[in-house]
Amino acid sequence: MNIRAQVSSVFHLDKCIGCHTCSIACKNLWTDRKGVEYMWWNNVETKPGTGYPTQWENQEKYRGGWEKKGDRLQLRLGGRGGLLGNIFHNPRLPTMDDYYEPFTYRYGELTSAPAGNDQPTARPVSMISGRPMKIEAGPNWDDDLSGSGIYAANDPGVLQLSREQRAQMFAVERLVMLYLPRICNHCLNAACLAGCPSGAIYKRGEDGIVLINQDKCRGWRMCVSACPYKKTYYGWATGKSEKCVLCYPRLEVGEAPACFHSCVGRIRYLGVLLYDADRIEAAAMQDDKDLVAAQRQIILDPFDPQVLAAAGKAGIAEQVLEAAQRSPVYLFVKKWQIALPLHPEFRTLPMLFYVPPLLPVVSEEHLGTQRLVDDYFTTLENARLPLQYLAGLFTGGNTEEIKAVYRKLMAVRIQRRRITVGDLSESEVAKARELGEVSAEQIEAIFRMTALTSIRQRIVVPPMLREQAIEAGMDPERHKQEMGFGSRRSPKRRW
Amino acid sequence: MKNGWLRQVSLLLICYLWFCFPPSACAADLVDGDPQRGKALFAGTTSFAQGGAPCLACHGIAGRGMGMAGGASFGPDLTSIFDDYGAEGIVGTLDDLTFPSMEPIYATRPLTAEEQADVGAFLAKTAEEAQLPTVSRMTGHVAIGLAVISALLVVFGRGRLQGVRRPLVLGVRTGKGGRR
Repeated sequence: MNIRAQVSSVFHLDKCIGCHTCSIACKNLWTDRKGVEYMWWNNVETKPGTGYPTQWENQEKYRGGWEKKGDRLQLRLGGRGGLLGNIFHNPRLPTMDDYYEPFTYRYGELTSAPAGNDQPTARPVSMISGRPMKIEAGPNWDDDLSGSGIYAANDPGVLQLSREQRAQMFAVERLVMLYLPRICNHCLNAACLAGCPSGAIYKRGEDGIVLINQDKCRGWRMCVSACPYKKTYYGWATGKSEKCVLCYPRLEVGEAPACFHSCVGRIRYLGVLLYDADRIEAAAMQDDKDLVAAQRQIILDPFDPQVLAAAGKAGIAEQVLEAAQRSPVYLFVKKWQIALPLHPEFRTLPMLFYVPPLLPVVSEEHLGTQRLVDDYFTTLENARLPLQYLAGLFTGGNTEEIKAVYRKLMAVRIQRRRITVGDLSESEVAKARELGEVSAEQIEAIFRMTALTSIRQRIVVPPMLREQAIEAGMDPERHKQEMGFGSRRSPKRRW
Repeated sequence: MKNGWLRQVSLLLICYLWFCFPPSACAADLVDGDPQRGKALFAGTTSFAQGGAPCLACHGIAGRGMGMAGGASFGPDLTSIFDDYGAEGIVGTLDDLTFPSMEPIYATRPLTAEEQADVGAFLAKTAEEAQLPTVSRMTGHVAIGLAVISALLVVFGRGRLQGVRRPLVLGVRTGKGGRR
């Protein structure tokens, strides 16, 4: 056993209202600079939809993630020879149009226009060329299904469905959507890291955050292709690639990352998971349908004395283990098993998990309003959003896995409905619990963690113990006198 | 005074005669040289009598394809040396070879008068016959090379980085690609 700690998270999609506050918080904090205008380390997209960048899930085009080659894993981008052959002109990149051409408006013209007969207007101008432009795309262009005939219909997940399923899904007054907020998954088997020719990307030992060393990055952009989630971006002004840093400077002082902190719907949970690094490769080698279960297996129980002893030996501090025991992520992912990784079939073992949304699946349109279908418990196969679509998103196509999650989520609804509305009998609730394989106490715990938590329960930032990390390499007193906030060179081309 | 004037005129006269008919007592006459033997001496197939190193050890003759492989690149190329130096220059140079890098070798191993004549004749013949690649020809070669490389780049690079969104939208609008 080779135990490591990973700061990981859960996004509860039933709670996301698609307000983009997370994106704005991140933008203002990290990517409000020249050359990175197009970057959204945190973005919220609408599903079904093609997302940002367009059709990022289509690995035929972008070649992200891993594939099984015989008895070993290989980057879908190719082996070392292939990487070297493409190093000066990598064709597996999103173009600027696939992200979107960043734009602003000439607001000054609203106040400085000379007096005339026309109302002054603020024309959109490109933030790249400065010339007036026609806005044709944006980071969430398919928001709320606008342009769904193009963007929702060409969602790679939708394209995998059968003709009947698509027709059913796109029928008038049936089409539904869900919001999918995305940040870097800080994967256990990160493909960006493996694809980097400069060796600039690393996974921090103490918390598993994946970072790009701005001194070592040479801007080859192989990480941009290799990341199947398209969550590394190339900074045009600095000539370096950048990505979500999980706000590690905030984590190090005990604060939640900016997108977590600002989340209006309180959908974001953060906590430490313990995992067995020796089993990563075996877990990533499973068949598509078994990937979720395999990933769940390498996550370890922080209450198991054996695990705790091995973790202590591996150098994980007691305070971190204590934080792991309070981790809400452990509850969602391992104990309740209602949180699933996004696209496990990319085989990067992403450590950001999603509680799939219940409402878009079992709601119906009734006299212009949305409500739950009457017999929603038995109609999972006829769900409004086909289960195959959700399985394609969260379980590598395994519908049984996603059904199990939905049975649990429904049992929570039914038990809470009996308590708050009181129109269901106890036998119905008991049947729901039995089908969902979940106890009444667990349901109560799920309900409380979903709806009634404080930020300190939702977001359990482990102590980062920087002083111990410093001590390992340098006398802390000397560090205090000499290093200030640490050595820092601004990222720019130095060759 | 009178004598001094006469002496000056006679000295000038001697100088003029030296200039018109330079004495060739120590230097060989090129006309007597055999270019074939000169070539052998130059390339080292025949050794110099005094043991001096063959010219080709350091000098190439690009006009005859000698020393082209880059081995004989220590000294300058000698294809058109005869045109630059002229007969007198060649004769004088071959006689004492006082260049800093050559002197240590040839001061003690000078070329004999016959050898000088042969090598000189060879160089004269070389300058006469050799055709140096002209600048315009080289420019042509470079241009063709660039054109070939550019064509290859275009052939293999065309359509390498294709967008996704625009073709998708266009395809849906024209009913050719994408799905509706």
